[in-house]
Amino acid sequence: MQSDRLIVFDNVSKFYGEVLGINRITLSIAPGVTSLVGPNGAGKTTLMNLMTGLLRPTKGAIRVLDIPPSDPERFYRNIGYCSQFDAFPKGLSGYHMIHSMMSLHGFSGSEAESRTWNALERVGMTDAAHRRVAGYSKGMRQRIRLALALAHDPKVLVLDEPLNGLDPMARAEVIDLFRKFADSGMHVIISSHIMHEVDIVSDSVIMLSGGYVVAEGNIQGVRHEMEDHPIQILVRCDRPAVVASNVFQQDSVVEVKIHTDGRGLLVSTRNPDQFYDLLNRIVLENRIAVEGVSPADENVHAVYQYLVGSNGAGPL
Amino acid sequence: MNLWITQALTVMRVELKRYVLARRWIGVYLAAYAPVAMLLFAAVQMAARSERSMGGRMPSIPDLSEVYAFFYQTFMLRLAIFFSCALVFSQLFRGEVLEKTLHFYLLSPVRREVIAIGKFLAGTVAMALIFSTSTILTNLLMYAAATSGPAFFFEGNGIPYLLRYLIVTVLACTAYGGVFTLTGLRFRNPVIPAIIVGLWEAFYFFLPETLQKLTIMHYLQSLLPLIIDRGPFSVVVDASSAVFSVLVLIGVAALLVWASGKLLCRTEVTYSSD
Repeated sequence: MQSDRLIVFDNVSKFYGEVLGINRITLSIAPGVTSLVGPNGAGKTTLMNLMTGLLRPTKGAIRVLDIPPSDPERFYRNIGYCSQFDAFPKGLSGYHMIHSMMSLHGFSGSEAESRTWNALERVGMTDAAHRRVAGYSKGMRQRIRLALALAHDPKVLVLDEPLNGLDPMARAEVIDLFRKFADSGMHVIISSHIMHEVDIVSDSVIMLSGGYVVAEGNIQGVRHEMEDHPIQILVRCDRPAVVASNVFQQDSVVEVKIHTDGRGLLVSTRNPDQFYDLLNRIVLENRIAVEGVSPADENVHAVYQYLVGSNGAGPL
Repeated sequence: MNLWITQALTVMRVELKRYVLARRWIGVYLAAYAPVAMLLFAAVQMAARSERSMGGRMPSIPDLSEVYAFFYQTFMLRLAIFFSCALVFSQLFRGEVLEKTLHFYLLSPVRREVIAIGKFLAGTVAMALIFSTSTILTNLLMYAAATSGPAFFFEGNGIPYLLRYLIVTVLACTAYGGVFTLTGLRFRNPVIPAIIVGLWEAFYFFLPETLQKLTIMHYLQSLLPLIIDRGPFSVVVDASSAVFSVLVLIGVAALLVWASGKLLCRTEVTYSSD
């Protein structure tokens, strides 16, 4: 892929004095939804602040769509950042905040106004637009930050915990919005500790621990590369004991657990393809009614736990 | 170029909206308008006394000019304008860091130098307006009690004097604004540099000639209509020409704002360590 469509970290390190932020990170992020995963202190926010030019790397170089952060006029036309900083300039309304920023982007009065209203509408804040930000709830402030990040139609949207403070309905809407952006060719970089939501929306993940990238790429791909951890497959069926007794014919099956409700079993195998073939045979030969077969640990949380284990302790 | 001007003016507008009515400016308004209130009170008292005594001795115009020169140079210039500039301009960036709002500007597609200029302009416009009105009002009130006050303004030196005081007020806000914009960005605690600069500027007349010419006060004094006696230990230095003084003051402010812009280019957002 051409470098003007990528976010590139070239051997980037960031130290705060002697404290490590991130170390020797080399990444190339393609368009789509990319999630940053890791516990507090893993380096997610440092990575985002570097990506958006709020921090300068101690070593290495960063280019977003082939533009360096040292060229703010081009750089920030392409980037929208919804940071975790929950402070706003005093005395300004949500409308005025966004409108001022649109004026700084160089949009004319009418264009700035229409973009402001459009962004406020996207995040459901038109009714409270003229109230001062100081009087907003946490969720409303989060929406305004999101509107600020979106209003100039950036090509790269960087969102640090964007779902914090949003109710479930708003979360679903915002996730849907991110998906649409990604489908239109944008970069959407998300850090979130809400794992199942990251799972739903992400095209790829970057897993961080202690300032290092421990894995990156498509989550299924990452999981399949972890050969030392057998893949878990959940089979929901009417006679799990029959299936369990038959799957041990295969050497690659290392563990089978019958589900507590008696209507399924969890199989750990080192060769899932071989297991699926065997399962087909067992089901046909024994006339077993199967409700569903799904991977049980091809998700961000499980992969992260396998990779980092107890060293990655702390809230994700 | 047009975009830079628009952006600088937008930053200025936003800043003025945010700050002019902010609580932190109460000290500035007090410094600017408390003397107006005091002079108004004194003028009313004197007017009442002159009505009662009818022919009692009124202060002469030269006396009042001396009094005003002393008041302006000691209180207005060295205290009110200087410390108000220190308060306001030091906070242009430092305040944003403390309130954790600097990233909003730094995430906008605006050259850092333009942000520095916009913020500096906002401070200068606000301070110049506040202290210019204070200068006009105190000046008018000072001569209000004198019977020849109107003649002094319409036929004498009243208006030229007032214009020079106004020019000095605006240039003082500009030059000190430049100084404190830079110190506010450079130092975590801008109080210490403010005190050092304050002492340097307040007692500049004890410095040898060469060093006096490295003070802002020397060039401001060169533009004033009357110079007060600073005592037997002061080093008397010839005033610089008016044009040169104006150029120096504007040039110094421009240089310092440019340096602030360069410093802002290297600024990182690490609120937690501030």
